[in-house]
Amino acid sequence: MQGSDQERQGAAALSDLFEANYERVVRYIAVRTGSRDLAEDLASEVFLRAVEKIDTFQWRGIPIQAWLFRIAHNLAVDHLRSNSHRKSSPLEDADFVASTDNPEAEVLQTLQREELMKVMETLTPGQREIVSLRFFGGLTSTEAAAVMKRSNGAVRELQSSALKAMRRVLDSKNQGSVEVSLEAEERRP
Amino acid sequence: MKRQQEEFTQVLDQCLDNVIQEGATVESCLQRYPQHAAQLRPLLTTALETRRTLDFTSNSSAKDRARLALQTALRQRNARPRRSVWGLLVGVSAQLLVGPRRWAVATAAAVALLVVVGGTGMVAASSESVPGQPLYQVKRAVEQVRLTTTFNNQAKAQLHASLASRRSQELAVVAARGDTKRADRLAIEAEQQLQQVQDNALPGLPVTVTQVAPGPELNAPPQELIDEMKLLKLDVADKRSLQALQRRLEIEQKVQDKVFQEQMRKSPEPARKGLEAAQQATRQKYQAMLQAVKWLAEEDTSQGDTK
Repeated sequence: MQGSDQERQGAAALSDLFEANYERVVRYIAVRTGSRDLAEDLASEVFLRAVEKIDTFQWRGIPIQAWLFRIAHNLAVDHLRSNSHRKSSPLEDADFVASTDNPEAEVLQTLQREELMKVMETLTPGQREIVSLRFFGGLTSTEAAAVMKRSNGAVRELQSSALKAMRRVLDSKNQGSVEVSLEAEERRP
Repeated sequence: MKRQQEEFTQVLDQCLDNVIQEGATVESCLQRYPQHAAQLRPLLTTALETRRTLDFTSNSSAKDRARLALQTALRQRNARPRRSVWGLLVGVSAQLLVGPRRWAVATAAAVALLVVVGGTGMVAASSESVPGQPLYQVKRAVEQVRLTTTFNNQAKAQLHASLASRRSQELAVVAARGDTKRADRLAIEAEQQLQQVQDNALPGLPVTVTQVAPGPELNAPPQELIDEMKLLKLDVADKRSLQALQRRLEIEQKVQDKVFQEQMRKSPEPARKGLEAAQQATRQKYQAMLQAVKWLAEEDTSQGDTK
């Protein structure tokens, strides 16, 4: 009887971990892989691996979220490696876009997402990882540092350089589109 | 130059927490750090736009499937004949935890979550444990869950203040046993917790409070710290939070002192000197934080306070 109580409570513990982190893990993997459907599949796998690996989790000051996202990171990286032969960018998968009632807005949203994903592709792997962990995984920089096995200072620096690089690319794209529209304006009779 | 860069990355990090995780506006961060506003604005808006543009809600049926798969895996795991994690989790004697190391440490995180849900005697027992004891892993895991389920910065600051005190109390116990290696590690951890107090309660302060020697009296931190703190613009709500934090720090300091005194009383004469030195080192850092918080809570450093 006691055994079944223990099992029930233990299962509740990992279930809580799932409820608190599932969405964040999906978002993180979606941004890493560019595919929402794939992210949902891999996120499920993350929690199954967590059940398998919970015996190996050792308390060394590592937050449990960091441990969980380390599993997610490894799965995402494995997937990207095994699909590296793909010619088209995985970041442009259409299934990343949620459908809305407004087709025009949907198209615009798709274009914005594709453009932003392309900008993210210009980042270094480390920069892209910190952006994914911080803005989509919802981790603090300390937790992200634990996932990335870097110091807090190094992660903060990486975060800053990632945002600066993104800003530069976005600014140059905006500048480019302004120049194109000015040229078109000049060519008008 | 390097220091300025580090300061900026810290400020940016804090603002990203505020804007992305907590829903604060970009403007509120810029007002808080006017000296960095020109640099911060484009980076914060880039982060916010990135998050907004790429955000989505996951498919609820996919989540249901994942939940079901997890539950199935948990059932299969529980059906294994031995080495049941859950047996260890809920209750069995501490002696069981002495078994294979991986067994004991394995489930700390799950224990913590379990405890938050239900609460068990094991947790109460673990709260007094120190490094090297079986239930210490449980204690640390419970702390971790409390941290991850505390979202408000001021509440986090108070929690970190308590944890800094805990590490100091543990330090007293292990130092009294002559375990200098663990004592050194705990001293570092206590300081890290105080840094978290600063990061949460006094964001943007470029000086590390614990690295500044405290002033001679409780009400007066050293001038170099006062000069930096005057630049912090606090409103009435901040002040109230700081007053609550001050009370927490005062209480915790008394508890720490009591634990050190108790350990010194029990220790042989040669060990007392080491304990006194350990107490002085940790107390000094805690005192520096208390002085800074108390001064800010009482001083008029903003127009908001005069409303």
